[in-house]
Amino acid sequence: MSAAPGGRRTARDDRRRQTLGAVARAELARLIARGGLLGGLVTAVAVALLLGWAMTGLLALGEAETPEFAAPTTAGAEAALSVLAVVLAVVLAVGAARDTGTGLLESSLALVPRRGRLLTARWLGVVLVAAVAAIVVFVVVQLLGVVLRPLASTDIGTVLAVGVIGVAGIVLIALIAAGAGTASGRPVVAILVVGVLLLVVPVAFSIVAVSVPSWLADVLTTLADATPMPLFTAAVNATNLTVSGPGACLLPLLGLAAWSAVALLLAVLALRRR
Amino acid sequence: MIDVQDVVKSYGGRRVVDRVSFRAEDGLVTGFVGPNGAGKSTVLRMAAQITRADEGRVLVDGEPFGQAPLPARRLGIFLSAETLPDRMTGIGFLRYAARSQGVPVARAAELIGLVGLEGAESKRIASYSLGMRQRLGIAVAMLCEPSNLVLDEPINGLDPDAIRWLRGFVTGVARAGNAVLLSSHHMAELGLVADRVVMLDRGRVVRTGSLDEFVTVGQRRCYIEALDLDAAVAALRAEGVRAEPSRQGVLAFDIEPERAGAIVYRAGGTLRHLSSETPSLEDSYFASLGAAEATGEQR
Repeated sequence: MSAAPGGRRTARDDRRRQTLGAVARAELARLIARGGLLGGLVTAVAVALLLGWAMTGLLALGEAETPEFAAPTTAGAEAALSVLAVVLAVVLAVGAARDTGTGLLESSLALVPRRGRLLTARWLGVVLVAAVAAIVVFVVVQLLGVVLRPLASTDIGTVLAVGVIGVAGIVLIALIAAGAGTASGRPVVAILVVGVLLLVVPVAFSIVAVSVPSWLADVLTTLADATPMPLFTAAVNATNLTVSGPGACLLPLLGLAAWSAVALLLAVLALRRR
Repeated sequence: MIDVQDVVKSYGGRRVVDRVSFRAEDGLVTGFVGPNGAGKSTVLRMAAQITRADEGRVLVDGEPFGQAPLPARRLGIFLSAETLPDRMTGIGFLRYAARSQGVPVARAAELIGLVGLEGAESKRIASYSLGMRQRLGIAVAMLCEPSNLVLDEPINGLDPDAIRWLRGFVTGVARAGNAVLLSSHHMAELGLVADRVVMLDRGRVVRTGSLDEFVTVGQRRCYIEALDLDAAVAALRAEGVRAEPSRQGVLAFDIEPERAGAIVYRAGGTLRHLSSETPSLEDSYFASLGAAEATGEQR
């Protein structure tokens, strides 16, 4: 330690105001800096790309054998985005829980005392990171599909629509995960919550629905379909879009938006209680 | 100025802060003392709006901290080395802090140099010693040269050189016209920098005043060294003076040095040293704490 406090302050400093943009930039830089979530994000994208490549390859082989059953061009990207949704959700939920459980939240509040501003900035960072990850996965797997699956054909408008809906869906899943992580405050709990919500509940309900009376099976199936991952796969689906129209994709997207609103609300309430 | 107005905070039905009011004035270092669990950290957290007060409020330069246009310019806070994010690097955390205030990130490197963390800035905070964490926390608090500074136990883990630097730093900040609220268990250190003292016990302010006023709560006493110390002690006690052996001599309480010297002299003793002693902040702290406990027991 060398120097004493000096007269560094200027009139310009006194006029300066903290803005949501500045806080959001700080949060985004923190997310992708060392000690942030860069490793997890790269892993999520890599796993999704790997699965997208594998899926595209399998579809190409299948279509070479039976060209009349060619799947939509976006099929590989749809599968890749589904995997991205799950892995990204785990990464973001753990990150949010870690920030809340350790001292970062307290340190951040000392710098950004308006909780609404801090949370909004934090979630804007999540939105941006999730959107970039989704765009990278969709574009790369889609290009792979163009190269490897010459027999598949879907009009460009549908491809673009699936891409946009896919990015929106990933962003909403990311917000659900961030909200759940912030509300839980502990990484282990966050993983459990996200795992149960995204995978265990829909799979378990679907399995149980096979062996119960039909009225109960209908209820369980409806409930399972209303959980985030089935909503996501229903929304990001070129066949759904072309056969049933945009409503068949937008309605599940609205369902995802409702889930994310609930998760973020829970996060706000949990922080208010702390 | 930090103006704590009648704040109350309860956890699980237990009131940990009970109608606390005091001011940390501009241009002064206000020492904030009290035993563990007295509620000091809760009050400081309420000042930073990290903890919400059940009742009352804390104003920083006339308004709640949350309404400050540039928070780190209004109030620099360092509450605990434990709240620093372990996974981030020191420079990473400072850059995050700078970006959040719209300050150029180059300021982060300046602060690393200022608090002597060169060479360790790119290491994860998890690998930092307590002293290094303290330095980093102080650096964040200094980010925008704030007009008010709140430091909770900043001396813990600092080496003597850093303690000396911190002493100069906080007095420098205060002399520049800013308010400094400094919580510490290190009474000797606090006695060197504090202009005013606020003492908290069991969630209540039990004593407040300037450092001079605060230390006079301790007893008047004088220190005597004599050739025949046992005889000197006996003579003082015979006159009803409380006398206790201390160092190479004896401490006589509630007596002027002139009278103490006369008693020893009349008893045939030979004085080698006679001086009055001002009680330290630590002495006064324990005297005040004892008085507060006695009052509490009576209540």
